[in-house]
Amino acid sequence: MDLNLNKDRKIGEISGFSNFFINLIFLIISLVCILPIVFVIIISFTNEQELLVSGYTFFPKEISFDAYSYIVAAGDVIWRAYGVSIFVTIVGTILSLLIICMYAYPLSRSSFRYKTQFAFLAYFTMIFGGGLVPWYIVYTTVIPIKNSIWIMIVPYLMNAWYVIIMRTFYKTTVHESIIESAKIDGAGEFRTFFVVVLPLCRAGLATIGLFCTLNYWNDWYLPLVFVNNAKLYNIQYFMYQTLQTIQFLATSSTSFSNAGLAMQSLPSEGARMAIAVLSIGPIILAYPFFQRYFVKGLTVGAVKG
Amino acid sequence: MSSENVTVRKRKRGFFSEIRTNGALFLMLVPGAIVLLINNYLPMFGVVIAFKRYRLFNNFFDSVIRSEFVGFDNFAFFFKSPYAFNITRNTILYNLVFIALDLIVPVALAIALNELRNKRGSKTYQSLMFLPYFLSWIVVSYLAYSFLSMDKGFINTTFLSMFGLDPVNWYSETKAWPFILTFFHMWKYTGYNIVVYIASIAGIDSEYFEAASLDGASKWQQIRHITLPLLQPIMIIMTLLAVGRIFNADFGLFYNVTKNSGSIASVTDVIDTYVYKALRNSNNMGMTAAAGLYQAVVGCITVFTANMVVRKIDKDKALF
Amino acid sequence: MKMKRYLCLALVVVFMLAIALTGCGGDKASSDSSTAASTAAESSAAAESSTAEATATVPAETVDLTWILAGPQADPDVDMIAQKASEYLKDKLNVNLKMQVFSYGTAYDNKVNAMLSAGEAIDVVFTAGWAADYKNNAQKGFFLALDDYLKNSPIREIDGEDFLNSAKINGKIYAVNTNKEQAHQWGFLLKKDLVDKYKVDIASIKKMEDLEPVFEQIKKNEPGIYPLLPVQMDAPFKLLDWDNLSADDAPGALYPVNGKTTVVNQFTAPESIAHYKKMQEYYKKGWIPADAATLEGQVTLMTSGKYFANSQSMKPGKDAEMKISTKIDWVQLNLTPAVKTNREAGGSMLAIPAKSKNPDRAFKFIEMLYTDKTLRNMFSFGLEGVHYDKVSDNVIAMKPDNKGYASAGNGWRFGDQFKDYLVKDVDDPQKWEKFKQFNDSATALDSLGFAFNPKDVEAEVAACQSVVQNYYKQLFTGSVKDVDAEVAKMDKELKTAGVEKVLKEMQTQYDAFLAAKK
Repeated sequence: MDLNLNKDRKIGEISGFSNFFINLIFLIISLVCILPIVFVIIISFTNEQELLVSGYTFFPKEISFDAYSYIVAAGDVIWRAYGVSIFVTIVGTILSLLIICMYAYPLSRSSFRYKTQFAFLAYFTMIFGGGLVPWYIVYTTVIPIKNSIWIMIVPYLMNAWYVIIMRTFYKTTVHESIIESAKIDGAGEFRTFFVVVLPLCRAGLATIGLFCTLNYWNDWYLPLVFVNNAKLYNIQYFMYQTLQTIQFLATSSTSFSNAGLAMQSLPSEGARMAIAVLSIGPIILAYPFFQRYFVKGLTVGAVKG
Repeated sequence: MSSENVTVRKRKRGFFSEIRTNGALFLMLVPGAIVLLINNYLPMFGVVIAFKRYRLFNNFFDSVIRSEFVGFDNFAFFFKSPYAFNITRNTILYNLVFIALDLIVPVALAIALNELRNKRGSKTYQSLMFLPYFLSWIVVSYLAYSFLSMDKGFINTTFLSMFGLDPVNWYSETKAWPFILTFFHMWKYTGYNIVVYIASIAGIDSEYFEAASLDGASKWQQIRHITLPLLQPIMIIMTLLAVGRIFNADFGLFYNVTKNSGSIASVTDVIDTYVYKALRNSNNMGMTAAAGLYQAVVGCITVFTANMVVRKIDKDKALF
Repeated sequence: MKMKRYLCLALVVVFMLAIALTGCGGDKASSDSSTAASTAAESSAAAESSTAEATATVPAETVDLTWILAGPQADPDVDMIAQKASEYLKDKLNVNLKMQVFSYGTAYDNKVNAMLSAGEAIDVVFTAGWAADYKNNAQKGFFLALDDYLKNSPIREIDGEDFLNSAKINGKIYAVNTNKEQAHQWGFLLKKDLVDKYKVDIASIKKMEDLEPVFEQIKKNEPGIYPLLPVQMDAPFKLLDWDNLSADDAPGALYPVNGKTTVVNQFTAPESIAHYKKMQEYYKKGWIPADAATLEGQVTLMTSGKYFANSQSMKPGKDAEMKISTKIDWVQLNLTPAVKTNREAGGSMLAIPAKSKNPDRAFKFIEMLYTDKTLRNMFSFGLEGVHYDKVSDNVIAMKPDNKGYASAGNGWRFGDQFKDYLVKDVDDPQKWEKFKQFNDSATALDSLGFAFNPKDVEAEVAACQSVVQNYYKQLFTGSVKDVDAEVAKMDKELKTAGVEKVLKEMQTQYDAFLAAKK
């Protein structure tokens, strides 16, 4: 921590005391933000017996890896859920990125006559919606994808807000003259778009891509509303089930031969926290990227908010 | 709009000739338009269910059209139910508190962060505070549970027992939840909001501050007379956008963090959770749809009003 | 600017459209009963011709048949069993069976009610008074009327005319009863090892309070074991044995004795309040899990072996049935007298949802669950060699290491349960005779055969149900601070929701029912 005395103070800087005080406040706030996460990590490494007897604690007497070895051993369902999450995230991100970018592009072209109408088609969804009931009925009867993995992908493919951001990216980074010159070189619209425009908007792609990735990875709402088949549970929904009924972990796994035994020896308290830790893992790993591009996206979003 | 000037010459051309010339651009719009159609516009047609005693016929459209028309009966039932007032009140009150705190706390923190002398520290704090934003509400509900669980939670086993207090059954303690929910809302979103304001502060020309310092202005004076006035537009926009969504609650927060516990429903039920639970528990599609439509229409009005105000302040910031 | 114009225009269009549609859609002819009747008539007219064909030849085209079922938990092995069943059915029905099992309780209702009312294309669905509310869904036209199908069906004889007709609503049968025990009594299943350890004299226990000394000892000596496990509706509240006239979570019930004909609100009756207070006392003593009000999945929890007593609906061999499900030894403790009520007549049924794409084959399938011993035992116990081994023609031994099919032994959910195998060392060889004795010994309540028609108070019933849903869990588990205050709050909300109108309507209908009976 910076405890410099006033003599080193540059013009416009706050005093050493204020600096110390503000640092202290931020230290506390940062701790509040991070401690719950650390707490869950600690619980996942705590001996099960201790959890049962004395509850969750920041300073366990005994460190144990039981929860994780249990997940490795009994993990078929957990890995499956993990796999569903990964599949949905990758496929969903690619598809929605493509759809959003393609939708935003004509809207950014001043020579396109119907851009207002199509922009409106997207924006209107931000203002008015049919509500949960008709939405639910549509996905169960009109487009019956309720029991397939696509139900966790399709509803999030379009997002009017991202269309706005992407359009702003196009408008600010791709000058009409570049497109005109590409056209003069004989490139069609699609070629111009994929070869000239998109590479120029790499930052925009990264931003929207990360928005989508986060949405898909963290989604639990679609499985909550639609998914019945346990094989289609994603990791978030699996966690939701496990928090509701701790034994869900044991009963849904087929790796163990004896039900009663598996359940009685299950380090359930620790194991469910371990799953939470596993679900946060990828986000922590990708966090530096997330942070960088999110800030960029937010700044652009604020330009045309 | 500029397009009007550009297209004056082409005015006479019809839609189909536009398709001929700009076919590729239309093609690019097709996938997105289809998704919007399925995901947003088909359900919009379904709002009619709110005026019907919904029954099944050949297919969705047929069912919507041929079900018996009951006028505003569904709405009447909804508003007569003990919940209509309660969930509306909860939704608005929580959102008002969130809006106020989301304005004051992040702005104050962003300004303070900006004043820190150790820039690396400032970056680290930002990173740590931004992290919760990236966690799903399910994970947050786990974190909440690890503190609030009746028999194992940190608060009961460590904190309260330290003072010799009896454990509290948090998931049925109505008085605590307005605070708990506010805490977790702030916990998740403060870092995010700080980033927005930090970006705006960074955009302020440093010459203003240097000139002010030379004139002997104190830090407080600089903040009051330079930073805050220059932040004002973005503060107003962010707030108005939030006001526009005052009728939409954060489903994840109110459903997951509370573990959907019935005992505290009177203070934690909001319109979104009510509609979800009604879809699940009853098979009265009409009334559930009515509650949803009520939210959509009032929400639509608030968005419009907020947008109108934004437009008055800064045309470029308006949504539409 | 242009955008703003569009927006206003679009909003106007949306609302105009809404009004126009609602206006022209005022199809008065399609009121409730006639809707159900007409949809039913359409499909059963088609059915009649094709059922005749179906018996003669197997349809050439394979179709998907989706069967939604309640069970102890969402079993992982269900897919495997469905696949084997499809193979078995290949030259009989030619269907590709798809099964979905949701656990008893709100999990089932939450999924299935929405599926039915949204009109999802499912073919066979489990329904009862306590699961996917049969009466309510049938009256709203979400099930097909089965009368035409049943005309020449063997189910008629197996179920018996009376039992079959007990499912009648407005003169039509919308679901077929499982042929099983026809009475119920309430009691506890107690974990056998603890019963032995503490030498509990089962015969001396006549009511829940008699178990208190045992609960106390277990709390003291068995860390990690909870004496009592109430989960959602599966709570000792059931021991009050209210004769519910509508769904379990809807107010309106009769006392379980003949002669008392006043409809009361069972959730605020003095007996219930006294019971809530008892539960609160237990909760405070730590006899009930701290988080009981948010627990789900009774059978799953029982399987963990961490709970001593749980309330159950009893019949001969309930302990054996639950042993097969949970792999834990139980002692059965019957407390209330055996009675025949609407609960059993409609305690476990199969229906065909209105939007089934293949109602004919769906009915054929239901029929086979009554007639085809091989088929129904696949669902009752799983697969031979995987979940059980055959000991003799009619006796099997469950494999101790099977856990993928906790539904094993829950054959009471469909068809003719009397065709189920007996499980070696678990089932009483006299099981079916005892069932018959049980049926004969039980007294029938006067309300048997009464079906409340909620048409005029539909919204009030729904509103009351959501109030009850918000309160019952904490009251049934005793996890409230102040019972009286909580009940007063619930009572106030129920009154706003129109409980009085509901009770009055029930009373009127019930009085008319009694008068007609005389």
